[in-house]
Amino acid sequence: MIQPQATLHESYPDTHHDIYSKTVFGFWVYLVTDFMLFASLFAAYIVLRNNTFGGPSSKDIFELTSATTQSVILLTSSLTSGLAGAFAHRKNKQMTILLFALTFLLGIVFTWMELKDLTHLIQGGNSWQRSAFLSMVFTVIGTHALHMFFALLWLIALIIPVCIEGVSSISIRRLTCLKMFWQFLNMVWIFIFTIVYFT
Amino acid sequence: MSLFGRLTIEALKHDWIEYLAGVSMLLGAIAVIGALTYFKRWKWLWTEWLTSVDHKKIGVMYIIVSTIMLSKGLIDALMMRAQQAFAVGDAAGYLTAAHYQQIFTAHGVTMIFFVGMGFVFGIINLVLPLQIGARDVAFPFLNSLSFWLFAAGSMFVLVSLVVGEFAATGWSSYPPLAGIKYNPGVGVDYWLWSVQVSGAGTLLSGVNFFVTILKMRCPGMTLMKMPVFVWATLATVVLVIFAFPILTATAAMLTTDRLLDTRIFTPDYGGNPMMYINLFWAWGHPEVYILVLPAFGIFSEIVPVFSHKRLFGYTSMIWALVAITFLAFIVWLHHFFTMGAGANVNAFFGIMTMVIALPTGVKVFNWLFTMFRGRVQLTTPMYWFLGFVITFTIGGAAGVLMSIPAADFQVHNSLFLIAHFHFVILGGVLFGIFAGYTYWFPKFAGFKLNEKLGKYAFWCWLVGFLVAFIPLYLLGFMGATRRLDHYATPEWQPLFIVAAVGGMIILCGVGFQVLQLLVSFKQRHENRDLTGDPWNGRTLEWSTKSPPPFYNFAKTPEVHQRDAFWIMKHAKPSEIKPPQYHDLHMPTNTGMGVYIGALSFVLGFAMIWHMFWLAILSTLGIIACAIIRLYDKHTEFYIPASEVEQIETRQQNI
Repeated sequence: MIQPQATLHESYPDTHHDIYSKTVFGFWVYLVTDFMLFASLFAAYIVLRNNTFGGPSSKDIFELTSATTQSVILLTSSLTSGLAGAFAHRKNKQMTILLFALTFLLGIVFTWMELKDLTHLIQGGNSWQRSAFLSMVFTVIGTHALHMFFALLWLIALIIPVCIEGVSSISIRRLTCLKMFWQFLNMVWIFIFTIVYFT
Repeated sequence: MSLFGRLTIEALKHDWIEYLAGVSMLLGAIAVIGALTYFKRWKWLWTEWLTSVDHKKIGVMYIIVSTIMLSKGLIDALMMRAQQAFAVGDAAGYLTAAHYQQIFTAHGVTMIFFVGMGFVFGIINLVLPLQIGARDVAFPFLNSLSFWLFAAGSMFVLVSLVVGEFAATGWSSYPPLAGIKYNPGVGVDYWLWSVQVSGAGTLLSGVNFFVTILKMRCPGMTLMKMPVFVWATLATVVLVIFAFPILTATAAMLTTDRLLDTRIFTPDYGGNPMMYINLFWAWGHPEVYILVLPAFGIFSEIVPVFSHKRLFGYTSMIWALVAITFLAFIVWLHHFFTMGAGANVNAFFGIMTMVIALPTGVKVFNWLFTMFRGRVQLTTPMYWFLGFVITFTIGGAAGVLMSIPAADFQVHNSLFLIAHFHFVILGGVLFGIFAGYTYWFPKFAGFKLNEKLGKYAFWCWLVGFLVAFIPLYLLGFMGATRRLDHYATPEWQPLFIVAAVGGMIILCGVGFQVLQLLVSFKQRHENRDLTGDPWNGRTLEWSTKSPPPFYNFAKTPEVHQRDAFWIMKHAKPSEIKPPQYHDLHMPTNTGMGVYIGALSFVLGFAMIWHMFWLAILSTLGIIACAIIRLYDKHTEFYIPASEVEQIETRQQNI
């Protein structure tokens, strides 16, 4: 993990109490817990995958074009968020805002498509009430969408101070966590794409 | 949909026993509120305690909440004992079946989530930062938030006494019984939100202490120089980090099953109730070790101090902890051998269960070898330790017996099982907590607890415990299953009566503990701890004053060996330099944890009663609080060196 000079002045007098490294490390640990949450859901999905109760199976309802488009969009946002984080570390206000705004837009489009897939299912009479398999489809994708929603909200909350007063060391720390969260959601999406859509 | 969802005046209707419980609880609350108002202590309470981010005060608050919950859980237990002593044959007992079911559910939930977890995290909060020479935990605000989520979770159990009902499903709430079809009321929803909210708090605590241990140790304290309690906590929080998300996910799925008609754990539409049981215990078995490992850590601190020897086999203690942490995740299936996963699966989990007894055995022998040829001082904490060794070994042996699937089939869900896990949780965890309470009390209160009354309490607890639970082993062999509000076999009754007597003896023990606290407080001037080191301790928490200043250490200690404080005490005194004080950087208090905790309670309550507008409002409230906290720029402050000096010298002059 890069530890820019800029963040050092906010550390405690004793150097081993450095807030930046503590927070980023803590956020890694948090991501482990969130990953365990998704792992439990994936396990449940795999157990119930064939329990369609006479309803449609995964072959009947998923079209890969939409899921692939979503993947491309989310992976692009992964790039923009990564670049945005790098520019934040260089205290480049314009590029930070621009790239996080781009990330935000891509995130919105992705989440919209993600939810649209689910509404399509409901409109086709295949809501979560239809079978255990569909329940898990909605649970897994819905949980990811909920995470996306909070990530987007968080992004707004973090970028406003940057617009007002530039990239402070506090902003760098928080945007780094946000960036990690974004990459984490990407990774979870890749699991969803492979486990839910692909198999 | 009405404004109050499904909450109507009917929710307040109960039988007279429940009214008695509710009314006494409300009277207690009114008494506390009245006393605070009369003595004009509200502002003090708010600024000094509720909004505090000081790990020591948060630890004390954990212990207060857990003590309240312990008294509730204990009353539940005594009510069950009273029911089973009489309800045989034609006698129905004084409780209805419906009420009895709520009692045993509430007893389990209370004792596991709010007594065990609360005491454990209370002691970790109090002791751990001091033992690693830190000023606070890694994220002090998060710590406050964790506590308030825990407190909010406990409120669901208490509020269900008055408004509505609690789950009647057993503490593990298995579907399909816990599904909406067979439990359409609010009981299971209270259970779900209680577990969900307090679980979120525990999860955040887990992350917090993991980072605290790995990032905040004082200079020189490498991993293998940490006190064993710190190692035990590290193992515990690793278990929390990996196990609690499973509970969060499982409870969330059961919630959607009940609320939105998903079909995950339903017996129809392809759902799988057995998956719930697997997921629940994939969390539930690590949870057992989350409770007991800190107790092991406490004993590993106490035994060397009162044997005046180094801990025997430090390295093997650590590896035993690591082995238990790993194995804790691959034994969960032994909770349901009878499900029928097949002989091979059962055999694997049976063998793993036997294997996990090995590192545990290593620890027991290490403690005993620590005492061997030591100058053992039989203080109250050592009494608790010796009681623990006996009860825990008996309970553990019963566990190994049940790890053989074929034997388990005979005693599954019988009182034999109940006796087993009470022997390990009560005789292991609770005795450990009581030992730690007596041992560290002088550090935080500034005076010692009365030894004589402490020993009386111990004997009542030990004897009462054995009298209450040995009959359950026998009853289990005679075929008595758990959770019976009534039985037809008169031969069982004498043993149930003996068990009830045991409960009464335990109650005497509790009485002595209350008396001990009162008497010790009254005699606090005689028993004051002026040195900060009343027991001739070995670890860093004894190197500060009792009670420690809010910044813990004026100067961050430096460590060169294990038992750092012992080494410091016995080092050749170097020339005494006038101490140099520095400005200290500390976190400021904040009410945000209280607000978010309260809003989480409102959110849960609204969801339980289907007041969805209120649920949305409280969610928005939580988000607003989080954003306000994000923009708060006054989260830290400096204490000038002059003030530190003043506090330090004033303490020396007492």
